[in-house]
Amino acid sequence: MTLLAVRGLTKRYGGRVACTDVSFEVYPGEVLGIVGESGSGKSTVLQCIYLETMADNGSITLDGEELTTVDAMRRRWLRSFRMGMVHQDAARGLDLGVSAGGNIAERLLAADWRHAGRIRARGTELLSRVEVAADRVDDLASAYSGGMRQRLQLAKAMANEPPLLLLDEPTSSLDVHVQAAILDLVKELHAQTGVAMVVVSHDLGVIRLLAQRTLVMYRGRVVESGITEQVLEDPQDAYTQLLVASSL
Amino acid sequence: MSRLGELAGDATGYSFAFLDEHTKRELRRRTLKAVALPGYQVAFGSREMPLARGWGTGGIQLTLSLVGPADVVKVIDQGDDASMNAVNIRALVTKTTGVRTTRDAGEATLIQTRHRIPDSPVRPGAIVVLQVPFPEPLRLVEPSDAVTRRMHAERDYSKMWLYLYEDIVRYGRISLSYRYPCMVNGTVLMDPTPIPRHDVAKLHQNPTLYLFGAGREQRVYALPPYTDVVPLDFEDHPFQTERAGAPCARCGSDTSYRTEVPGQGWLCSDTAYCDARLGVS
Amino acid sequence: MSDLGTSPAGSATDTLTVTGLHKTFTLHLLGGRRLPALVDVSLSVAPGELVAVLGASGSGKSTLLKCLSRTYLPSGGSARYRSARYGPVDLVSAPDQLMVALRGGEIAVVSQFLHAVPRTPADLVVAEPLLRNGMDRTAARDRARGLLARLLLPEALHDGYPSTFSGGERQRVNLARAMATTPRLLLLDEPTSALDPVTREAAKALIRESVAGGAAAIGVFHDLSTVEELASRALLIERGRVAAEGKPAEIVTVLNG
Repeated sequence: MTLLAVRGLTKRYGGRVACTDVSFEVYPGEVLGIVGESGSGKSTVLQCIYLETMADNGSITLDGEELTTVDAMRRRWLRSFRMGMVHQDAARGLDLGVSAGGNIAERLLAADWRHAGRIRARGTELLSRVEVAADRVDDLASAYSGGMRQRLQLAKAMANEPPLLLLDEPTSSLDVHVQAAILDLVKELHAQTGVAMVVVSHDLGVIRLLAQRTLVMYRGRVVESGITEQVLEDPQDAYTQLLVASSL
Repeated sequence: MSRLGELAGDATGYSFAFLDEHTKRELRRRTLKAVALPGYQVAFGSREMPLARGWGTGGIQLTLSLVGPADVVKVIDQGDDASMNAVNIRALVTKTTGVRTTRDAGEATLIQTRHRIPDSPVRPGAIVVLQVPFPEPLRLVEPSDAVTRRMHAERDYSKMWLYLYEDIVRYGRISLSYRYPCMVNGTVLMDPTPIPRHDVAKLHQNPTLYLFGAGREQRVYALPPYTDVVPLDFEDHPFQTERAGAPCARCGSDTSYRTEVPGQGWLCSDTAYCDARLGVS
Repeated sequence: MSDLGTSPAGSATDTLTVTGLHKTFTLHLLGGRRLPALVDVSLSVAPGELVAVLGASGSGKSTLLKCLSRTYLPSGGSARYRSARYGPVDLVSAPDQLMVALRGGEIAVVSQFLHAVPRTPADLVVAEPLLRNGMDRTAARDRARGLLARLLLPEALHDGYPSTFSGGERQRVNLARAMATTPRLLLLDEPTSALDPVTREAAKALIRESVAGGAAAIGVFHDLSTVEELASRALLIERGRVAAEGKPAEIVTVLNG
C-alpha cells in the first residue's frame, strides 16, 4: 500500500550534514509537502529519492524496490518510468538546446518509442495537458519563458506516466501570477491522474494549496509531521511555530 | 645510397611489415579482443608511422599487423585505387613486405579502404580494414569521453535517438548522410566511418570480417562475419540509402554507388568495379 | 451533570465515543507557556443524532471540534470513531494518512471560515472530494451544483471564485462541500452564522436531512434557537470540561442561568 518509504535517510557533503535520519512514507495518489528554509535538507531528500545523489545511510523503497543499491541502468529506468522530477531551475531538468517536443521525446525514446510522428503527437498531447499550445511543440526549449519551462518539465516528467512526481520548489523562481497558474496546473494534474507527489517548498502557501500531509525540516532533521492543516493551525515544534508565525 | 640508408643497411633494416614483432602481436591481441566484442572500441597504443595522422595511420597499422608473405593486398581511397593516399599506403605495404597487390576485390585477401566498401564481391575469408577518422558515434551528441563511455556501458543511446528525432523535426527527414550510427548485435552503437549509406546497408549479416582502425584516437573495433548491424531509424522514417540520378555514364551499372562528377554525369565511385565491367584493367 | 442514559464510554452502536479528551497548547514563542484548552471531555454520538456543544466563548467548543478533525493535535484521551471503511479508529492517535482519508469522505468539517482555495470555481471546490473519491467529472459537478442550488447560492456564482465571495456565500460553499460526500460524521463549527434567515433555513434543512439519513453530528451554533431546533442532545462545556449534558432545552436553561 505504501508507494514510497524513506527510512533513516542520511546524507553528508564532506563534514556538513545535509539531512539526518529522515523517515516518511508516501501513499499512492497522495501529495506530501516538505517545508523548511533553504539549507534545511529538504532538497537533498528529494535528490536522494531521484537518485541524483546517493544516500550515505538509510533506505528508500519505491513499490518495495530498494533504490539506494540500484545500478546505473536501473536508475535511468526508474527515473523514466517510476518517477518524474520538476526542478526549480528548469535548465537542470531540460535540454534547452532541444525542441520542447524533443525534451518529451527523450523520455519516450527511452521507452522504445520508434515512430517520430507518434512521438511528436504524444508530445503535443502532453503539452496540451500542461496548457501549452500545439504550435509550440517544435520550438526550442530555450525560447520558452520561465513558466512555460516549468510546464514543459511537468509534461516531460509525466511522459511515461510514473506513479510518483517530485517537485523541488516548482514555482519559486517565477513571477507571482505565473506561480499561481503553475500551482493550479499541478493541482489539476493531480486531480486528473492521481499521481502521488512530494512537493518541496519554503512557501507555506504552496504547501497549504497542494499537500495533504506535511513534513517540516529544520537543520537536516524532520522536526514535525502531520496533516497539513494541523501543521499550520496547531504546530507542535518550536521551529514550526516560528515558521507559521512568520509567514505572511 | 643515402647516408641514412648506409647506416641502416639492408640486413639491419626494418622488420617485415615495418612494425616490430612485439607491436604487431600487441595489435593482433587488441584486434582479437575487438572481434570478440563486436562494435566495442578497444584502445591500442598507436605508433608513429611514416604517414601523417589522419591519413590512415590506424588502418595501416592494422593492415601491417595482419599481412603475411602470401597475402594479396588491395588499397583504395573513396573507391579509387589510384588516389594519392591509396598509392602511398600501397607503396608502404609493398616496400616493407614485398607482397603482391591487386585492384581486384575478388582476388585480394586483405583490403584497406577509406570511406568505401568495394562494390565487387570480396573474396571469401578476406579481411577488410577501414580507416576511421572518428571512432565515437556519440561524439555528435556528447563532447566528453568519460560520459560517452558511461553511455555505452549503460546502453544509454537516447541522446542519439533524440538527435535523429530533432533532425526529423527540423528537416522533415534524417539528414545524416555519412557516419550513420548503427546498433551492433543490438548492444553497442558504432560509427561505421564516413562510408555512404549505400555501404552501411551492406554491413548487416555480411560474411566478411571488417576491422576499423583509428590511429589518432587509438581505437580499434570490429564486425566479425554475420554480425547484426542495424542503422538507427524510425518506423515512419526508415533508413534509406542514397539514390543516384542515373546509371553509371561509363559502365551503365544501376546498382553501384555512384557520385555525380561535373561534366561527366553519374559515375561509379568504385573505379576497379567500373573498369572490370568494361573489361579494362 | 444530567445523564440521559448514554454512558460516557458509549454503546456499541455509537458512531463516535470520546473519552477523557484533553488538549494543551504549548507556545514555544512565549517561552514554552502552556495553555490548557480542553481538560477532560467525554461524549458519544449515535447515528441519526446531533449533539450541540454549548459554552461561553473560550470554553473550548471549537477546540473540541478541531481536535476531533485533527486540525488540532489532541494531547490525550481517545475518540473512538466507527468507520464504515476502516472499522474502529481512534481519531486521537490514527495515522495522519488515515485521517486524511477519513476527512476526504466519511468525516465532514464545516468551519466558520472557509480557507478559500484560490482560483478554483465554487462548483469545483464542492466537487473536489467527490472527484478524489473517483466520481466522474460531470456527475460530480452536477451534484455540486445541486447542493449549491439547495443552499440558494445564485447560479451565476456557481462557477465564480469563492475567494471573491461574501462571508455568507462562502459559508454555503463550505457546507455544500461538506455534504457532497454524504458523510457519516459531521463536525459543524457555526455552520450558519453568516447566513440570512431564508438561507439559514435551507442550510438547516440540509443538516437535518443528513442526520435523519444516519449521520452523527456534533455542532457548535451561535444561536440557541438553532440548537433547540436541530439538536437531540446538548453538552455544556466550561473551561475545557463537560459541565452538563442533557436535552437541548435543559442545557440552554443551564447556560442562561
